[in-house]
Amino acid sequence: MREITLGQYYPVRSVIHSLDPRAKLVLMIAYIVMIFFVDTFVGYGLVLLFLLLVIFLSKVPLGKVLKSLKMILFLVIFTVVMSVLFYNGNENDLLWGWGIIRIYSQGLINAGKMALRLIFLVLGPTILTFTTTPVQLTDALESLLKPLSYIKVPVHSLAMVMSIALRLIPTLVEETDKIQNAQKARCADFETGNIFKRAKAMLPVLIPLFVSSFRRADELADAMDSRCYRGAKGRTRMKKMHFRLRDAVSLLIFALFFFVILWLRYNFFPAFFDLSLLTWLV
Amino acid sequence: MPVRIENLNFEYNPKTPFAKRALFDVTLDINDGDFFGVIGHTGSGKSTLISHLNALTRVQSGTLFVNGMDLSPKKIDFKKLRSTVGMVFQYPEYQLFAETVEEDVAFGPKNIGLSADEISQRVREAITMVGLDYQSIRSRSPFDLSGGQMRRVALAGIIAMRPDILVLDEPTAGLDPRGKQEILTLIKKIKQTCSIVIMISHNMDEVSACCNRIAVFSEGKVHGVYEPRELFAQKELLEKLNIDMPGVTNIASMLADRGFNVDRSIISEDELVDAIVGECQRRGLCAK
Repeated sequence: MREITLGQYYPVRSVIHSLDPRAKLVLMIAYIVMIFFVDTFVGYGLVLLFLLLVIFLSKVPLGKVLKSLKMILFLVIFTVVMSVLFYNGNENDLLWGWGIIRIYSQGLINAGKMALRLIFLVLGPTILTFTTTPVQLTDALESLLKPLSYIKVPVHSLAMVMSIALRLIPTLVEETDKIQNAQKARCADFETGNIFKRAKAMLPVLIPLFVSSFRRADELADAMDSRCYRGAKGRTRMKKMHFRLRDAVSLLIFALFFFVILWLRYNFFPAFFDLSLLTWLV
Repeated sequence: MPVRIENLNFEYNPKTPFAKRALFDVTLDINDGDFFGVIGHTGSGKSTLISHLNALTRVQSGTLFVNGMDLSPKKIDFKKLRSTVGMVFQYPEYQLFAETVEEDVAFGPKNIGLSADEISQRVREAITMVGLDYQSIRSRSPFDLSGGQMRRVALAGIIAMRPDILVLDEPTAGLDPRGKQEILTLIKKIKQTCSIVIMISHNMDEVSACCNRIAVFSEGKVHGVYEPRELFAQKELLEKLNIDMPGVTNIASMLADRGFNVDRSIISEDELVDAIVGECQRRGLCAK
């Protein structure tokens, strides 16, 4: 259990690390939206170049970033197989057929694009979590959602809930470990039997875990109360976020890049430069 | 049956950047009849050592025999081992989970696979032994009890497995002085039913009052194994290891420093009172 670490923050100093977390969060969301506008392999190639540049700037080892793709490997394979098998193309496009299984070249191309889209979708947030601590992220979220507090959305409380939850994950893991050991010492068996048996065997761990979580929540609430916590009102920050020139520059660069991607897709200036003439763009 | 530990080494997260060595060549012999104390600072390896004794932590290098059972091989009889070595962790009341006290205490014996009759007999015995009234408490929820009672129930859950070796990790932590005294009295009573009790403690009064041998841990190594009198009379050694003296030994030692004829190895209140009264009489400060 102890090996689980949430938030894979990679602590080095880099341009990407030092960007305002709010800027990074906005960029990440814009990036995700952008991915859905890419529909050519050239476009994906550009995105790849862009990502490689960001990873290089962030000083996070490329291997570490790629490792995070392991989680979605199954999903990607499943998607590719399904979309290849169920693609209905026209018959002169047929590559190979056997019984009801028909594979079209257009199907393969589509599946490839889908896989790339999935992979790029995951890589963006991965780089964000490598370069931004969970606390910075919740702070950024709180700051960005602030306008909602004018329509009585409890933004500060939500952000507080999130940061407390993140803070308590390692504690809970440790506690689970302890209780599990205590029950193992009473000859509890977590390793054998079918899935139902094992789920039931976890009860003697889960119940004490719940009980102590509630107790801890109670104590934390008391501690916050006794230090006069009363929500966002009049509260200042220890670490203020600053929107600097480099944040503006990175937003600008990204906006330009987004524009290029849109241009590739919608062919904005046919009179000036007609992209549709370049048939190799697939 | 004894516990034999030879050149035991242990490292957390081996072969990673987070590797941390916790035990260095630990060699200990714990014999039948011992009430064995383990003292040392936080992070000195005490807890890592005791979690080896019932194979919650597996042997990485070195040898470890418990009751003649070799704990080095990968596959061992966990049930047999864990019913032989009863382990009471810090704050054992946090492990309670069942709907009733009776069910909770029965958890261990049930896991061993005893018959229903045997289980109910052991549960009754264990609950009575920890000083609770079986009839009135058996069907109550363990979460409704007071802190001291919960700890007793947790202890009963271990005793019901009838361990031959009982391992306690700071059994009195977080209790008031009276609760501490009650738990200690209880542990001494349990000692009569098992052959070895091993206790980790930070409270030197408890260690000196209960244990016949004490292992001093320091930074993952065994600094030495002493008898209580032998250990607590060595003021310089204790200062070097930053270990407190028991309250009474401290008083005796301060008196001795000021020229009174009081033995520095005193470890009980009665001895101290006798020594002080004796010295007063010698000096003619009070009647014989």
